[in-house]
Amino acid sequence: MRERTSYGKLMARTSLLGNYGAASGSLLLAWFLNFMLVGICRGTGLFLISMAMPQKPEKMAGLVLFGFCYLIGTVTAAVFMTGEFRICYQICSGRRAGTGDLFFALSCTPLRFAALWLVFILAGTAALVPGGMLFVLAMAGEGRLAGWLLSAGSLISVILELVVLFWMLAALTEAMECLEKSFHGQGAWRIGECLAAGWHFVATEGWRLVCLCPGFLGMSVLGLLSLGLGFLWVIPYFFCTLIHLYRISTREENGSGFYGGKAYGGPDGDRNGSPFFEDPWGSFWPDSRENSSFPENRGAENGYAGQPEGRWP
Amino acid sequence: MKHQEQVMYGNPPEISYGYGKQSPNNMATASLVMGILAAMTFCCCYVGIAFGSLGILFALLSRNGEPMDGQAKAGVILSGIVVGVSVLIWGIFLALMVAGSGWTVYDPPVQNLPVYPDILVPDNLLKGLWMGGMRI
Repeated sequence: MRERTSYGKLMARTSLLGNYGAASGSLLLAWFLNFMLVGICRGTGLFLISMAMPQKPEKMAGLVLFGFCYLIGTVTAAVFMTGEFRICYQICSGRRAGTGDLFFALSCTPLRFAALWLVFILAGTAALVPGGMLFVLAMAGEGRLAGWLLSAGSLISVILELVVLFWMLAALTEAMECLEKSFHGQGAWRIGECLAAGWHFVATEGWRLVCLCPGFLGMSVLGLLSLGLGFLWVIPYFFCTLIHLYRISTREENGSGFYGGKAYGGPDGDRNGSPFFEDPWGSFWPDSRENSSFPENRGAENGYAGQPEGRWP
Repeated sequence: MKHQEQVMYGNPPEISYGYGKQSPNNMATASLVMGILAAMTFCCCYVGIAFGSLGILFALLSRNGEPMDGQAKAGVILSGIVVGVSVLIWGIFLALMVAGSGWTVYDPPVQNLPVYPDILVPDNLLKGLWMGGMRI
């Protein structure tokens, strides 16, 4: 089990080598836009509420402004996170990615992405409820019991939020996969199907995801020690690992998907009845993608042919 | 284990970029650069730790299925030494400071508390928290 997790991480690192410029640069841009611009709006709202205008009507105006900015900030965060995930997806697929992909959620099925994010925001909020109830009990309790309740509440909250995070990323991956197929004329994505597929991934690959956490925990500590700068590299790595693990899982189950599906131009995953152990590098590496249906390989019909120079052979 | 992995997953292919030209591992180079910067800024308060953490991180991300690159090894060694020693020094310094200040022993008499204005400037805020019983 652990070997397969390591394999997914190895695939992610190999995909990202030479592409960190696009992945981390876009993330930096997203951070700047989200935290700086929206942060200024939120700060203004907070300032109005707390300091500048002590009279009641202005305080209410500040509250409304803060709520509005909070809403805008949540929307932009969702857009940018989808965009960053799209960039990682492109990189994992061996295609070129740019900062334009940051706005992918706005340009491609925006309403569906909005609905998907609404579900995740609600799920993330609901995941805080059990831990929050234990917090309330801890406030009412005393002594050692309160401490235990506080610890248990924190632990439960962290675990449930992690489950929601993995579910969300898996559903996003499924959405990207479906969009990929629809690009090839094989159907569009449905929110319910993506949510179900994401939940199925979390339910079946739970232990693999648990194995994934300690390594990223260590990297997160390094990211914190570097004053948050390290997250510019850790977050794309995390996204790419999740994407590869999801694809491995899909391929193991039905012998289709990126690693061997005919839809992606790779070899048939059902060979010898063992799709995963049968040359998993086969469809990933460009030599077997020469005849695939990737846009960059389609030649004249898209106006350009071949791989971008210096990225893939 | 290695043999088992090779049987399971097959041998990782040779990674080549461009036209048959072996590309340098940029992350390994970045790790070495960060390690050197960390060593240079070792005595600049927190800067050395930040550079060192990035150096270790880049070294970890530079692995691509083969043994770690020489540059990455050098980077992780330099960064590891800088981060380890810095954290040790900071830990000892803080421990001595806490032990020497008597923060845990001193309890100011409550009846002699001065009255602070409602709007607290940072200095007064600190004093207010101190007098309020928080040990910061």
